[in-house]
Amino acid sequence: MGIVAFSIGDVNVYWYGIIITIAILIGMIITWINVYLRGQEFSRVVDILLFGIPVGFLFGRLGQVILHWDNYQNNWSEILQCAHGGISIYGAFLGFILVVFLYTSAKRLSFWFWLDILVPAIVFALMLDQLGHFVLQVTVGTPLPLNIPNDHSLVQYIEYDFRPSGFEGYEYFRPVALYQAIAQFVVFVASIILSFLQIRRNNIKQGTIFLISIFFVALIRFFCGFLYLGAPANDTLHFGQITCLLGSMLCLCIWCLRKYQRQNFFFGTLFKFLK
Amino acid sequence: MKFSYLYKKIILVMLLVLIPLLLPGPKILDQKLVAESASDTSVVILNYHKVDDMKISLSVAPVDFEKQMAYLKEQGYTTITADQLLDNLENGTELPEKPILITFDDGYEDNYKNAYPVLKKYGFKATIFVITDFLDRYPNYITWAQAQELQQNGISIESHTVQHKSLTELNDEEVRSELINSKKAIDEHLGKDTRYIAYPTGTYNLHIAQMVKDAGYRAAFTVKYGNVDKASNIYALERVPIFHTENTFKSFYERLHYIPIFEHLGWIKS
Repeated sequence: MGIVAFSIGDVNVYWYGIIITIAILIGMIITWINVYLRGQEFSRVVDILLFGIPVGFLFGRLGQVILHWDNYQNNWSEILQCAHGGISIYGAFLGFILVVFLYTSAKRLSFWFWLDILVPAIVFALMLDQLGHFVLQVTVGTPLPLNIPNDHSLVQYIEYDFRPSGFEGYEYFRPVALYQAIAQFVVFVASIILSFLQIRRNNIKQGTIFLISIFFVALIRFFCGFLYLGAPANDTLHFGQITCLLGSMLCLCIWCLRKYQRQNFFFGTLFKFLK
Repeated sequence: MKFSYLYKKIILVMLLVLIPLLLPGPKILDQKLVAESASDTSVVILNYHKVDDMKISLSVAPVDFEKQMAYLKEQGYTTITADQLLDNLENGTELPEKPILITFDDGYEDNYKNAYPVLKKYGFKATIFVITDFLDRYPNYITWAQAQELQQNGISIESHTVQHKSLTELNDEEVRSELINSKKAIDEHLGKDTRYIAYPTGTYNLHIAQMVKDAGYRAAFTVKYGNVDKASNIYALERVPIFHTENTFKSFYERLHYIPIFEHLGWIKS
């Protein structure tokens, strides 16, 4: 598909940016349905997005700079060169959650309630992001042997110039991004089902849908990380995997604490804000 | 209250419009690839074998072939030569609007009898990759005399090795002999400098590609399904095979138009 969709004069319009924009738009539609079913106001979501998109972008860029500091330490002007690519999904995600936290605190809304409303859209956007990685051929899985049979199984053909150095002889690679997108779709469907249950029967504690979804999404990323090509040979985990493992453990811990805080006075007082 | 909500939506739309301009990709991208992608070279190379009424998949019926060529003409496609393609990939020379490269593999006699008149009728150029040992020897392959006529009328004759053996199964000496002798045969019979080769059965590896380069070829074609753009390996150019199916024109149409999607799914020849 190429990197540039089209150019208006000298200005390039990029496929990845278009995919992210479509993801946000469809996320807005999903959230609109969610908000409508719960009798809330959509203007809240617009407010969150107004702050969330720039802050998410900023934190994503910051995350990229911090994680790949050796690329930027010698030429600081590169930091501002967004057109050279590079945004960290972890940074963007953290930035967005921060905005939701600050907004709900300022407007005296329930943080966990609004996270539950937003989470199907977040998972959907993450799924489209992975599909974007797939078509841009930036996430490369382990190579497949040259003589694979014609059995219509899922593979990814990576064009010659995009192949990582050392692997020019291989044509087909494991489509890791596609696997992740499919798994995230399953989580997305689960989050929608849980949302319906929460609305209809009102028996799911607020925040649980968010914690469960993010727990599984992070776990998926952790397991798919083993199929990435850049994985070091000596079985150490790379940064993305460690972050996701910690993230999913954190979700699990918060979920347990919130579930059992009534029973446990110590935790209840210690984590009073986890209402 | 309502006013400021409208302003907010407008600002939101503006933010959403900005994103495609600012995000080229999740990882740092090689600027060369970005620039090449912006210039948008993307060429379809059609790959035919036989053009007759045998009901096998390798054999497109003449009636269907005529229909496909008529479609290309009507849709404004311009046939190019392999030289033009090479010039574009190496030097960036511009190609005409809607370029397409028509190729035939093996050099069957029906290419001359059935396909050549149709190509001539529409003023199309094409390239035939011939198996040099089979010409003048077996009855259903073209003769050198016919090859000469084709070469002089816009149908370029290029190499498909000497005996159509899969190059990955031969040792280095044999590969070199196949490459060099086929070039020599065509050069001598047709008085030209053969620059292009198509791998028999499409099999190759990077070592063979290097030998192809050493033998004096300037580019090589595979049977890998895809389109050719700047990110392609010049010694492993992708092509779109056209087969006889239950609805040959529909398959042709789909393959002509939907390559990028199929390519990204790594669609192995169906």
